[in-house]
Amino acid sequence: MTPTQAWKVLGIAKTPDVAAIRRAYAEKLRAMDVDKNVAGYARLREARDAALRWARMQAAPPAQEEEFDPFAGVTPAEEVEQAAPEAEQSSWLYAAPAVQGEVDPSLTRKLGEASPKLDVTPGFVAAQAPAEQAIAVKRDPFERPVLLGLEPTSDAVMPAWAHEQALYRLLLPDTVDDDEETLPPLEGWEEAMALGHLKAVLRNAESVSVTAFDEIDNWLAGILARSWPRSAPLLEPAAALFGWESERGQVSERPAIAFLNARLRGLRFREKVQDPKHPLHKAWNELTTPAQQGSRRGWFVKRAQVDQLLDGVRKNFPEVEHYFDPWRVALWEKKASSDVGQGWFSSGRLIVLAVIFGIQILRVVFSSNDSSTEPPPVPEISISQSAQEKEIISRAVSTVFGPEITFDGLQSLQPDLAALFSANRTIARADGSSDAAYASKVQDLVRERMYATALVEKGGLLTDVQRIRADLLRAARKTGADACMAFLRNRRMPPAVVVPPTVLERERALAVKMLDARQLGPPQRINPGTASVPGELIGKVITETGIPDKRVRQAMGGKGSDADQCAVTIGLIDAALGWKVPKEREAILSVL
Amino acid sequence: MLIGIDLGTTNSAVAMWQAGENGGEAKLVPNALGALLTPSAVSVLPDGTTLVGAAALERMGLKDGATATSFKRFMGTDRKVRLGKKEFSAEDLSALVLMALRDDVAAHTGTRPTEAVITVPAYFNDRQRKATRRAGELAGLTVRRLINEPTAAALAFGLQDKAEREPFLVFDLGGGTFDVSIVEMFEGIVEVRASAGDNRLGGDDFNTALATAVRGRLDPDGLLAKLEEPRAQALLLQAAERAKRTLSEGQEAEFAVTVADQRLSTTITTSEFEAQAEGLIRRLRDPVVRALRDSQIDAASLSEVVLVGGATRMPVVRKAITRLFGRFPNSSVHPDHAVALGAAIQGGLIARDGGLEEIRITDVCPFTLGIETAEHSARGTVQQGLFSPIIERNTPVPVSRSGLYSTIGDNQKQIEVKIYQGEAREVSGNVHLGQIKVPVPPRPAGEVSIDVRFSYDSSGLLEVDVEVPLTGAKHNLLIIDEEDRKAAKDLDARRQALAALKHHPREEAGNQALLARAERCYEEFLGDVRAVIGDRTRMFVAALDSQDPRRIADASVALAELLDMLEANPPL
Repeated sequence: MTPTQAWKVLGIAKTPDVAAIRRAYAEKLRAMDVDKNVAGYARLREARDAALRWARMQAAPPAQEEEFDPFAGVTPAEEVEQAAPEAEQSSWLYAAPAVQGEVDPSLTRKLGEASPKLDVTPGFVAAQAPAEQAIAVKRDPFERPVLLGLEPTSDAVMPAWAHEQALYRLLLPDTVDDDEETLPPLEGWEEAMALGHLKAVLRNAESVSVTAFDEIDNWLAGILARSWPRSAPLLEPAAALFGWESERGQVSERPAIAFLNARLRGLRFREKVQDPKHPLHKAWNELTTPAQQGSRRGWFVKRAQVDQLLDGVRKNFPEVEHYFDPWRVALWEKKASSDVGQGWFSSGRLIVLAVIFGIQILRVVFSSNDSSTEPPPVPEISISQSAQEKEIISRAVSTVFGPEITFDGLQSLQPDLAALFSANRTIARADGSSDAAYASKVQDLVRERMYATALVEKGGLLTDVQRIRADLLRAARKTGADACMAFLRNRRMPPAVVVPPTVLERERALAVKMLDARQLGPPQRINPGTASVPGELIGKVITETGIPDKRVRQAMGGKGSDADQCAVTIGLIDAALGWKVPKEREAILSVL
Repeated sequence: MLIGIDLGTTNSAVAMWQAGENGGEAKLVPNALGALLTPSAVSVLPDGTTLVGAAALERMGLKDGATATSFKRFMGTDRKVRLGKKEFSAEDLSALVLMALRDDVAAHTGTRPTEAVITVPAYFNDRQRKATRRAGELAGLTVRRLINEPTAAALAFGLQDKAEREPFLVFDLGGGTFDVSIVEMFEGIVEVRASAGDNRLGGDDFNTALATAVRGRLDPDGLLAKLEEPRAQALLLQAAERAKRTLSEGQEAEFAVTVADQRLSTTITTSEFEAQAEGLIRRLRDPVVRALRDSQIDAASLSEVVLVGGATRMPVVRKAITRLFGRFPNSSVHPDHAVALGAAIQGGLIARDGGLEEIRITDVCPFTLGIETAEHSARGTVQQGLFSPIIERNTPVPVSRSGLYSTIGDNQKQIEVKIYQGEAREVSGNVHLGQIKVPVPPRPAGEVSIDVRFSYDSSGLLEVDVEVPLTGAKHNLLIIDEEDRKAAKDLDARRQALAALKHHPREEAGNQALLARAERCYEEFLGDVRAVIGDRTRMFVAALDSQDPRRIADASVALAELLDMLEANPPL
């Protein structure tokens, strides 16, 4: 409602006089039977609120309306000292800054005009949020310490705000600016200090008024969520004081709290499962033990339990999967295989689909390992190859790259890839695999690298690779939906599939191009990405594939028949390739 | 005649609006014992006669006490209590209390009241409200309106001086429920900005905490365990209540019970009690924060914190309040009387009695109302049982809001609109209020939509209108749940059943209460003292039998004086 309409509804001339607005509202209200005129009542209230808002704006000159410059990060102590003289005017300060933003709050600390003095009366740095029209911060007529009955404690040395700053600095150190990066866990001494500061912050929260308590609640939830998993050891005590769990599952659950509650449950599950008596304890130990090249699955661990643990964790506590070793998970998830260089995509592919207001979100999660996990080491195999062996390898090289590339050429351009060719040959010979099987295996590995590089490089390369990939999927589909799925899931082309020569030709050309640009190195870690797929694009997939809406959605969520999933993936790649918005096109193609 | 009733967990009170020369005022009506508060207790004597109030409360710890208290806590549930040979629901028991209050007014004014305004905790859900309404009907009263307790208290507080008030907060901690309301007053408008609460937190919980804390050291030999558990609990809770009262004035209190002619006693200090109550105190903060958040009001800008409810007398609670708000609370209204007085004022407003015509109250709906929906989940499956809010909590009422929903299945033939109240994202955590089946033309999923409109009026009645824009069909549902319909059918039968109970004559209430008290004291004291009580009691009973008013009066005074003396200074 515009102010003009509001005055009309209230039946008075524009006025900054709050009492007049209220009087007009009261008169109108009394003249009305609200139960018989619900809409009129709503309108009247709206008018009153708009008028009061306007009046308040008139009352407060802009200078006082001005927002305080939020400090990025934390105010250094020296600055606080310098600001001290201003603090004379008011004895209160904002104990905790407001959390801004939603899911990942960009947190700023607002100290406001009233900076703390270090010699404030100990133990009760009180907090007070800005009163709406407050010009000077109100002085409470009562002496808080008397009311609180607090004795000066060790807080006398360090006021509450200092604990907050210290906690903030410990959890979100300056050295890490990039939000993308995962913070390292707290070290022993850091954890002890953080817990100490947290205790002080919580104690302060308990002794201040509800509004300040609420602010501290929001602030703390924000930094704990933002610094997760670094903040893990602090979660239990904070959640207990603020009763975060009682908010769980509520319509009004705050995003940061929802995030933390999910993790809290995960933490508890982790604690429980570490008890040797827990039925899934063995499975847990198995999956958390780091695996290396050549590791085997644990001997005394039951498959069913590992599956139950993995399924349960993925369903109920997805964040707990961070504790698992991705290689170990891969050992259990796929049939053990001696493929060298296979580990990269190992924790499988998960397509997650969310339908919100007609916008689909696709999420492909590649191995969600920690940043510390490096790609698998390329085996150094130094067996002198016989001439015959060299010939087989050379043939494989030309199958993949065409006649102009020799093994030596490959060695000079991309030595690790050449080593991979040799190593796999050694294995193939040991297994007694056919030459053709060897060639197709190395072809798969090169395809995998092309794909992985394209996902990282994006741009034209991504388009090229995905275009070929769609054709490969189409070729696989001709053999059968299961063949198509096998290629989609494992990036292994079943031998029965006949790829049209034209497609192979294009693939070879691209492979050579990438090799020349030395773009076929070991695959890098891919961060799980999300992309939203516009409804119109989904519509295209539906028309193209002729599969009804519901089944398309299912297929995108990784459900439904193989045929559907295959067709929908191809359809989606096609539709995305022809999509007009470059940014969206790229985003979608990089998660397919 | 229209009366206002505060139907409390521990005590109930009745008040009426009396128009007068300078505007009139709300007045509490004393009961047969001359007291303004009637304990919400019902007892059944061995001969089947029912007792209500102080006399019933005295019988609570007796061997064949058959007394129910705090039944408001299971209002709106199927739970029953057995008293003597009969079973009673919370509604029945509340109806008996309401009848007693009704009779008190009849005796006081000479006219039998027929209509009432009854107060309920703001955080009572729809089911609990309906049960309260039915209790009123069972007691033969037409319930003109249910009003929220903190709103009633605010009304009483505001009318003390009729001053303009910036937002103030009503902190209402009763025997079994806790409410917080933020209220503003101006130009004769009483505007509730937000309400929040915990309908499972009250003074009773402090008694339980105290009893649990001392039981071990009070009774190391497990004497109490030999009693039936309800009776052991009754004795402990009575003792806890006494100790709690003493602690409100001093630093320590004696916690004593008499079991099997043995007196068990221990001392409890304030700091011990505070430690025990810590968890409960913490639960007080949540609703306060929620109400402030919802109304976007800063605690510092509240003009007052008004205390209502007997449990706010506890120093431990006051201390917590002082800390929560950083100031001393306002105790200018009587914590036990304000709600009933407010109800009477509301009654006066409804009856448009003189001196009140300018007041208008606007309240909020403290719960979220919505319907059940299903959604495609992140895993591509269909997730059912989700709650989709239509009216958000703390929306001013009356209000009318609508939401648009569509079919999820191909060729879906009907949509079942299930209506819920609560704050949980999944409907299983909310209160089911009713449902309506809406036939729709079969079409592909998502192509048929319905418009669901909720209209919530100021007396708390919810009306649901569903429209199918495709066909223009309209459906309407007044929320009356299954239970309600069933209850309406046998309401008459139940009313008659309650009326058929033998009620103890009102004129004898005083004597009955004294007799029950003497019985309790007899069980509590030992040795010579007990013998003296026995003697005096027999004399009193003999006097009652003689039916000689003077003899009865003398004996009753003698007995009451003896008991007063013994209870004030226990001889042990």
